[in-house]
Amino acid sequence: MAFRAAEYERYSGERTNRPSWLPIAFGTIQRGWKSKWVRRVSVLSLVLGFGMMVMMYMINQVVPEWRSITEQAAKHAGQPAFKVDTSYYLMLIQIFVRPILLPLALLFGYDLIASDMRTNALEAYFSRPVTPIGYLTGRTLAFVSFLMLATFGPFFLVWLADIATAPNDEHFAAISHVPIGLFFALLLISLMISLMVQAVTSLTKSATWSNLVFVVIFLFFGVMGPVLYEITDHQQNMMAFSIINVTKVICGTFLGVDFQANGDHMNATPGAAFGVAIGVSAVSFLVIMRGLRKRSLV
Amino acid sequence: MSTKVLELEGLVVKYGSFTALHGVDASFSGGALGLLGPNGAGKSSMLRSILGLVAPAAGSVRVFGEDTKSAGAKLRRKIGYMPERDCFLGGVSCVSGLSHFAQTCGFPKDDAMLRAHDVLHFVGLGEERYREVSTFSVGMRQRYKLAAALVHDPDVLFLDEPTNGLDPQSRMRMLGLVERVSGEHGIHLILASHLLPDVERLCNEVWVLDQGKMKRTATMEELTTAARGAKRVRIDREGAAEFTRCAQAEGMLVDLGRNDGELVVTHPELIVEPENVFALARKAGVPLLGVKDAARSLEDAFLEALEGENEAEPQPDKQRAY
Repeated sequence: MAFRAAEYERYSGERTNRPSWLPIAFGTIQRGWKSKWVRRVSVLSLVLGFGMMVMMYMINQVVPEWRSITEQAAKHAGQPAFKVDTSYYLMLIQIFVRPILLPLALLFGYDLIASDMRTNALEAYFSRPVTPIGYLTGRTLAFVSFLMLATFGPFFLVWLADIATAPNDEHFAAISHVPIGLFFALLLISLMISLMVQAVTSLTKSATWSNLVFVVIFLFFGVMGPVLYEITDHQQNMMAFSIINVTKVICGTFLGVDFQANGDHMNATPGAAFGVAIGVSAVSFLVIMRGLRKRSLV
Repeated sequence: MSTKVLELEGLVVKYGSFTALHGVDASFSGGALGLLGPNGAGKSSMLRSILGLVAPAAGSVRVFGEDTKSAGAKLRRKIGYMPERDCFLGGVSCVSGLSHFAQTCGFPKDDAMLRAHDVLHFVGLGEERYREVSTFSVGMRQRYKLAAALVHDPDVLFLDEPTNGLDPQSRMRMLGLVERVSGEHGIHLILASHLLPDVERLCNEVWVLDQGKMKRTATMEELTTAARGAKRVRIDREGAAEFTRCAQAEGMLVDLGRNDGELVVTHPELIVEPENVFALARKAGVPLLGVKDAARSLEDAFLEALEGENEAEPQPDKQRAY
């Protein structure tokens, strides 16, 4: 590289007209990826999905009839027949939501806005052509992309393996809508979680306090939902206190799972679940915007 | 007619019930402008309202002829802002943070990184560019903020107390950097400071603010040059009354100077030459200890501007002596 004198020079190159939230989104992804635990959890999730894909392929190569064998085995054991259908995908996605999406959201987002507030970086952003809505768009886009990569990504690999090893066209017809349904379900869940995490961090401005608040939201309310359900003579909407249950109902609704028919009554109604998701997202958005507008009125 | 860099019309800034700026009207054609005022005068509020970080309660702000309300984002590409407080991206290296800021102003990724390296070299942080800003000393942080303000190559630079917390050597270095940017590259400068020597060194125009009101707008020359041909005379204190009587007999005006035993001699129509002062001293029989041109320091002018509205209250060292 040529030696450059320590002298100021005017910039003579071209400036792009791309929106200012785009570099913020890329910057956020880079920042997230720098975190060791974010990398570990994301890679673990993708490896899990890849591993399941490989496993399904290999089983299919060794025992092509494995689907009917498992169904008959379950029937002989007096268990409900095992089928790779929408309920299976709902169960599978819960594996990704509980131990991966929620921890990843905390690891990725706990210090996103709080850090910018502590170091006064918001003033640096808003004295440039960045608006609060642009800032939030960039941050949330990156956040949601990360969550989607770690949840929808591995799940999609499993679905691909399932399709590739499908015994007949009927199976494909039964699960063809699954990726689209789960894409939108996970998009809504990721958006809700990412906005909620950012809103809490913008209020507490502290990583420790943020994490304590999330413990209350996810664990305390997660327990309170079923407790309220029981003591109110099975009022289904009480389950909407549990964010975990809300995510389950949203995924189930997008997949077309009939909880009542499956005998799984302990769930919030779809209306309540979507109401909570949209309500939490809207309130979080307003809280964040209020915090950002305090630092900028552009 | 060339476009003015900055125009303020009836600018009012309020924080709740507190009014930080009371209907300020002023314009700046270009060059280097110093915003002077004591702490809490409204300097930072003015800068922040120009940037859109604070909403004006009334009035308008135009930068390069465009209203900041309608063209805020576009205008902020042309503005480099160095805030008083620390301001950086946490968890990333200094050069990555600057590159990121340049990208938000429309720089392509590679150009932004190159530019970040360049400005860090320029401010003397080339060797520290891969460190996080949180590990920097106060002086390094100030230089980092200057680099951050320059990284997107603005046309006008807003500096809010750029030499705060710096030791004398670092202060001179910082002023030197700003002087080079402003003087050699045609970047307009708006400097808010309560350190008068900084403003005197860098600026050619001054706005004096106090309690949110514009007290005076003038060029540095107007502020620091006294009445044409005035002389600052040092004489023995006991002979001051006789000297003044003789001067007044010649139609001259005599003011008390800032220092003990110092008088400022002016004539409403004529230039006061040293020979006139010597003659007056001979006539009064007073030994003359010194004569020099009565060019004022910026400090004199600044204090006069602040006292301007309180003329009814006599100031001990400024009232007419005789």
